[in-house]
Amino acid sequence: MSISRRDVIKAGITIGIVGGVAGVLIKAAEQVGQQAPSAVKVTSVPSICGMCMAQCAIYVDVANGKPVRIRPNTNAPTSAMGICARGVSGTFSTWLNPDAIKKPMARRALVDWAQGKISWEEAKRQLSQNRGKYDDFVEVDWNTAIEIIAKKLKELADNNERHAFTFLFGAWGPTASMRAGVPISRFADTFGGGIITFDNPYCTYPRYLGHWLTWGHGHQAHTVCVDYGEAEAILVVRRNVIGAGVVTETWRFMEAVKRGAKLVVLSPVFDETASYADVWLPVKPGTDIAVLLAFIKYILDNGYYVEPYLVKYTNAPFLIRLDNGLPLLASEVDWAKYGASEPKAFAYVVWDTAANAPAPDNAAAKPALFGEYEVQLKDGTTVKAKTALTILREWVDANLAALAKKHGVADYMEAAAKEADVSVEDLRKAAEIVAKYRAVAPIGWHDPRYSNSPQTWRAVGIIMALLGRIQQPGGIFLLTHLIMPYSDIYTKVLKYTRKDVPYKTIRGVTFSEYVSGNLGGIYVIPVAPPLPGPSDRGAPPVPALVEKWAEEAEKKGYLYPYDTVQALYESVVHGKPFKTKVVFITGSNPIPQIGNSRLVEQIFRELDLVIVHDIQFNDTTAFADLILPDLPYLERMDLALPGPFSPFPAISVRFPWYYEEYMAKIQQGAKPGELDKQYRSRDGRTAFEVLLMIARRLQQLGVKARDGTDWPQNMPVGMITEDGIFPIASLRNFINATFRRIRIIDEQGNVRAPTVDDLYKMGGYMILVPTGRIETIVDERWSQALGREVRVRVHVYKPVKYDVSLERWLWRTIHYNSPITAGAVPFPTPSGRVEIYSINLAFDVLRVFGKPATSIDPSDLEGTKSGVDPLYSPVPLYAGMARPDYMWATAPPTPDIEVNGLVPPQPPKRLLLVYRHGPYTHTHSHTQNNMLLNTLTHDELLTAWIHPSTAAALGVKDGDWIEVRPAAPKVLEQLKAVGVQNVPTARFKVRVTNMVRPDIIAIYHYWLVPKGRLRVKAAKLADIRAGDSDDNYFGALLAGKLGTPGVIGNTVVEVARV
Amino acid sequence: MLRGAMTRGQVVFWVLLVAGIVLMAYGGYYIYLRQTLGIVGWAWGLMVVTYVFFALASTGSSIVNTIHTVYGYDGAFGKYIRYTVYVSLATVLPAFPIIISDLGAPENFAWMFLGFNPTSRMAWMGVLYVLFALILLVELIAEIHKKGGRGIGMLTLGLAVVIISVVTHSNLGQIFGSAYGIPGWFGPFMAVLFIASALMIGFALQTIALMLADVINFGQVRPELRELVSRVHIKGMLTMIGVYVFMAFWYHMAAFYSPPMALASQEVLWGRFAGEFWGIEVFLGLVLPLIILPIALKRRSVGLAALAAFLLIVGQFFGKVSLTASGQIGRILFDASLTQKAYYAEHLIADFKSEFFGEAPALAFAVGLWLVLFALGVKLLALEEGEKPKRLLIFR
Amino acid sequence: MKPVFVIDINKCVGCRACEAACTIEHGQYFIISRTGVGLPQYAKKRTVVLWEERDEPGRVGRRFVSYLCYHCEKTPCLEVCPTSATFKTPEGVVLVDKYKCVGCRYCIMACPYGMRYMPSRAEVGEAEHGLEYLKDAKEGAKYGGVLFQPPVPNKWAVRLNVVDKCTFCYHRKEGDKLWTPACVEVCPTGSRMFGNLDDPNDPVAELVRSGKAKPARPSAGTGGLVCYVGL
Repeated sequence: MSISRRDVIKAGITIGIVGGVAGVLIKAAEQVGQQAPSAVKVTSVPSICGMCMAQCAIYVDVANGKPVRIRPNTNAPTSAMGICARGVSGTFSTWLNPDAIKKPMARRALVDWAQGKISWEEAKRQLSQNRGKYDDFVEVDWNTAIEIIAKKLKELADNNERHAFTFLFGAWGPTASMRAGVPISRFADTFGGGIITFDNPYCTYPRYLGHWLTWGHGHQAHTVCVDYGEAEAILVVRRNVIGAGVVTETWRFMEAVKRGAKLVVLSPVFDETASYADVWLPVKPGTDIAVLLAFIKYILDNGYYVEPYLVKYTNAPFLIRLDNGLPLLASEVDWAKYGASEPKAFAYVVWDTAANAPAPDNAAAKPALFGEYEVQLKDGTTVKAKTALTILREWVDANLAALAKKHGVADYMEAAAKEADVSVEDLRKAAEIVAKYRAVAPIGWHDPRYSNSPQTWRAVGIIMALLGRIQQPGGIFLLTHLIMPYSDIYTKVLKYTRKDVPYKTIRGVTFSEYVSGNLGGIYVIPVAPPLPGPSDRGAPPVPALVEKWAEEAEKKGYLYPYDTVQALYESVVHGKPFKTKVVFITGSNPIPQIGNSRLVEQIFRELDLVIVHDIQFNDTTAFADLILPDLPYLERMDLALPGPFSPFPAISVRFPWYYEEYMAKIQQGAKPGELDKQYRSRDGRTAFEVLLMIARRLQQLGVKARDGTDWPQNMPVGMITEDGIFPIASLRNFINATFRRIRIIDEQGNVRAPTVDDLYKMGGYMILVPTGRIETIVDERWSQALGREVRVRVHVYKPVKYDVSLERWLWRTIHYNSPITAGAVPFPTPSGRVEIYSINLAFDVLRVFGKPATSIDPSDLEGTKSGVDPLYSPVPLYAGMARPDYMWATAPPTPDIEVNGLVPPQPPKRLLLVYRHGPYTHTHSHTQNNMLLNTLTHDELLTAWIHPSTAAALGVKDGDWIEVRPAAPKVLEQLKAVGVQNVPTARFKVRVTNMVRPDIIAIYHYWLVPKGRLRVKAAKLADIRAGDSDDNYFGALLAGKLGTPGVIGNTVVEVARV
Repeated sequence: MLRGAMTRGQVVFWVLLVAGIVLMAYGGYYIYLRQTLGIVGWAWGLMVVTYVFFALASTGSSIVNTIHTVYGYDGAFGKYIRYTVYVSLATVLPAFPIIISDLGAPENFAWMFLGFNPTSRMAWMGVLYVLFALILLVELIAEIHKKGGRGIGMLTLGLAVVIISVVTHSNLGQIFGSAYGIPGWFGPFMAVLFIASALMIGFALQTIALMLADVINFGQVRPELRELVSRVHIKGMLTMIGVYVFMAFWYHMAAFYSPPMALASQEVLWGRFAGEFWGIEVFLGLVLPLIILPIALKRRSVGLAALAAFLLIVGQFFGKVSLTASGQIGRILFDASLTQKAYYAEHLIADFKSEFFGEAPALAFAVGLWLVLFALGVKLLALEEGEKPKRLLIFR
Repeated sequence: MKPVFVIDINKCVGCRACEAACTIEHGQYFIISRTGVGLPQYAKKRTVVLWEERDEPGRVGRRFVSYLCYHCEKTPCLEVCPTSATFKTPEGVVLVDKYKCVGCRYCIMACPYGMRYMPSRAEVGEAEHGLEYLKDAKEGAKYGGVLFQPPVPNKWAVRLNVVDKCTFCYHRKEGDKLWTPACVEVCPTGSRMFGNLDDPNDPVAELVRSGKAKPARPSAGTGGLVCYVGL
């Protein structure tokens, strides 16, 4: 065969041209016809963000009938300037989440059991086998799902085990959100089951215990607000204010910083907040209190304390009996001896220097702040007493002196600096800033949980008290509209319920008397369920697991214990104090949140039935037997809340993005329920709907409420449709009903209850400014339901649509002018004042240990010498960083009890694990799988940060991998005790940086590689972390002796290069 | 096997042609992928360098031609002028497909003219380049058809070519020179550097091309070519090496006094491109030719001259590579220093380099196209002195 | 009207809400973006907040600095654009007509601030290939939210293989009123501000007039509509 030249030439040309040009042409071809798009109409629907607890006001933009974008609604005090990255990326968690739960799912065994194919024993066997895996899940319809739950609950009811059912309620987790709290507690009350706010104590309890014992009010971060507007200096302790990205606090904080307020930051990591610090003190974790005590001494020694404030607002001048450590009561004094008559009202006693005699604390002309005095008692004896402030001064001096001795230095500043391992120059500089500019401390949200955490927060509170920054301009203010929602604190934990124990009252009255008697200063927002529940009808309280457990724990010398995991662990694994068999989890992903996660997994393996209600598969759904799809927050209309994270009384309602369209269609006669279905992105039901469906089924099965009433008397069972949908239209009326007790003055000057429509007009957020008027109203609904007239005294509020220009005005009218600020209404503490000397602690120490608090030796740093551990001291003392605390409150002892929970950090091999929060720390169960947030998170933030010297010693460079495993022998013992074979280990890419202390390893909290189906998150972490790479895998299950659950702050890990 | 036994000339021809076709196919496939998949990063990579190089080569070569067309130096140049003009023309063409397929969205190419932006060097480049190619074509036709000596007409045409060439490659230089974001390029240096370099490449390219042409058509190098090369090209190369070295030195001196610019210059002098610079551009591309060329001159050896020319071309090509790359790397380093993100610079530079050199196949395409055009031209066009075209004004 | 963009870096907390908002607003292919690596050109975004850190023994520091197109008065990118795809609006906003841009990247070379970038289709394809779950996410986008496309269609949205840059959200402009860019709208601390220099009582413009807010790199001599407080 032959090829002519011409052929070859042709071929050459062709190949060349084709090769070169084809691509260009093809590309051009496919681009043809792509034209610039034309604009579309956008409508904005007000809603409430559900990406974290702060719940800012937002707008959801709807284009072409589709929700496309989230924007801030600046007519709310939270999002006054804007919203955070989390809020903006909400659409990614709700709709663009590849791991969303779309339909109810159950493990095969459950379905078989429900259909009567297999016995419960067999079902249970199969369930516990398969937990942790997804293999045997099958999609079921809602009826089947509800049937399974109802059938199981009936079984419990029939066997008189109602309390074996409990909710594990995410700490106000955004998925369900605190807005689901009302129906949940009502269901629990009606059925007779329990509620455990499972992860809540682990986030914050030690901190707000400190607040309760100091100024009386505290819970989540939003129960007290900081007046950054007037702040001159800010002392940041255990808090990454600007990193946490709770904008309601962040923008106000930055206004202060911008204004030039001085900033002192105590943090082992140079976090976002430290970026702006005048002084950054990289304290050794857990020693903050030593530094704070140095500040206290500095303030006292240099006369920076505000005398008139201490006299009027604190119990600093109270005389404390040295014989029993309790404050002297007016009723104990022999007034005749002093030519005075016994005061009518309940009072404590101070020393009046004007009369040089004791006087009732509220009647003294010139109370002494310092000194020791002898007082004649009615029983004829005399008692020695010192003022609370004297005790504070003397004990802090002794404490710091002991510290100085320990470090062989003379000066207390040097002592504190040595103990906390910070530069003494910086410490002095910080002390001067704090004292001179009268620093206020952000009370924060999370606490790293060291044994001494509550006392640390006591110290913070006392510093602010000494400087007159509590309930004063430039300081913190109590958000009294949140006192009622958290009333359990006062009735169940602090027990201000019995008048016969004066030290356990609020100036002689019970909590309920306190509220009604001081309503003028407590801005209650009476959002009330339309139907009363068993407790409202006077049924005895349901035995709550954590309370029962706490009674046992207290017998073992633990004050204010509140450890939900340990309680549940012992209940499930050991059946003490009573067995828990069925849990209903909503709005929470407990397994990775709470340490030790391996032990938590064990809880879930041993339960009878685990129900998880969530919007996405996560670590916990893997251990569920029944997975129920929730509706994402943007599709929900939720019950109203008294303004969470608002510095002012407020109510807010979350509207679904389709609210306007929906209402319009209803007007046009569309069928509620059917219409709702059309708007739902999945076959999901809200927590409220699920519970109503269960209630309805229980009623059909003949399971009545615990007080024998019918379910419809307790919950609006009739308001859901056949397939369990609570139509938005009906929900609107229902919410209006919950407003019936609230009173506002509208534009026309009429006093009436607000409506959902009022709120919609205001963008879902309504500020309630108290007018001082209080009215008594009759609650028709409850009167009818209870068969007696129910009268309620309520505030009359002026509704205000927030605007940032109103900020200062609102602070003045609501906080500066509040009766508490004026001293007319007492703080909710035994003394009715800010407690320099904690009467609660003094009383409980005596009650529990039978020894007076005054027998505490303040120089006893290790808590070994004195009969009573300085950890419990009524005035904060530094008693070592942590204790080898550990106990089973109720369960039979396991071998690990005597094993010391702690090992000291020994760089480089053993480092203290410090977990940090930042803008991308995931908020409970909702934001973990967010594609956009994950992209925005710098890899370097997710790496493990270690100090160059540590890195050098370990032989690792920036970007290398290290392996981390628990160091404390106790952890290993515990894992053995529950039969966990493989010890948790994790691998981290390291960042070598001077921004951390040499003795710590800092990781970003709650970013573990998921065991569940969180694919987005797993992808993000693929080459940064591996294994059990979260703080909760390395700590022991410890309980601090003073109300500190899971003292994870003491976690020490073994670190090795890979 | 092809019909009949082949002469030396034929072998060379077929080798060039086939090699050209293979290279074109390979490069063409890459370009196809690049466009359909959209493999276009932010960087200016080898494709831009290739474009620049061919542009310089052809403008350079056409300036060399003016020694004959304008300054009237004849010697043996008259005999080869058709060849050299065609070399310029054949060298212009490969640059077009390369620069177009370098674009991210060539489908919008029409806007180069519809939306002509007078302040943009690149816009002008579009126009000048087309103009340049056309004038070269005209010149070729004129050379093929001219009767007798060089009349005033030919002179003007020659002048036109000079002007357009100079404008074109200095404009090309200023494409870089006016890139405000790249301190290593910005400024007046590029134009002069490019002129020097262009001439050098022009001489070199012609040396090689003419040698090949003679071999293809006559199986050997004719004495006239020895004459021409030793009189014109070898001396030309030697002179321009001197000029170029001075220019380059000047550039790096200037960089020494301007920190941002220095970042780029350092990359070349003792940074990532030191190897290419000292090894290839300087030693192979300048020093060796400086040694070889005098010998070639002494021996009147076209072969040696061609070898030196080849080295020189390679050197110049790498010169353009390091210039283009170092400028952009210098910018990465500069940005990193501004934003205190130095620890990221290395990643970015790594990305940049893979992007930059990933475009190598496009170079193959251009070279291939050149080989094909050259070989066919030499075979099919009436390039011999006095030869009369039979078809389409220029074909044999 | 003459808009001006002021960034007060003393108020920035580095939360990158701005980046999130921008990403969504313009249908950014964020799966190819590399957060934190540097200027928009390298981060492949329109705007970035860099955590600029000093990390030396005993001397650590950090500041959060936002970067975006400065919309220069003397406009190198506009001068070099061969197709006039880059142009300036009457207000001085520099835009790229995505339907004229040939993707020659000359403007990227010309921009002295690295504020332009080109999203490449190949990279996107590669990234998508690596993220098998994107399929499911896109499924969800049918109901709500937007993935790789603007919530409100506009001709300045991100387009592959042509140059992309900040537009000051010009598509939000209605009539001759001052509009609010997405990043400014969400900024939780008011670190990003947008004002009108022609309005004598505009507080943001006042920052510029009073000299409190200054251009980023006056040495570059391009002027522009973006100024910094405290840089």
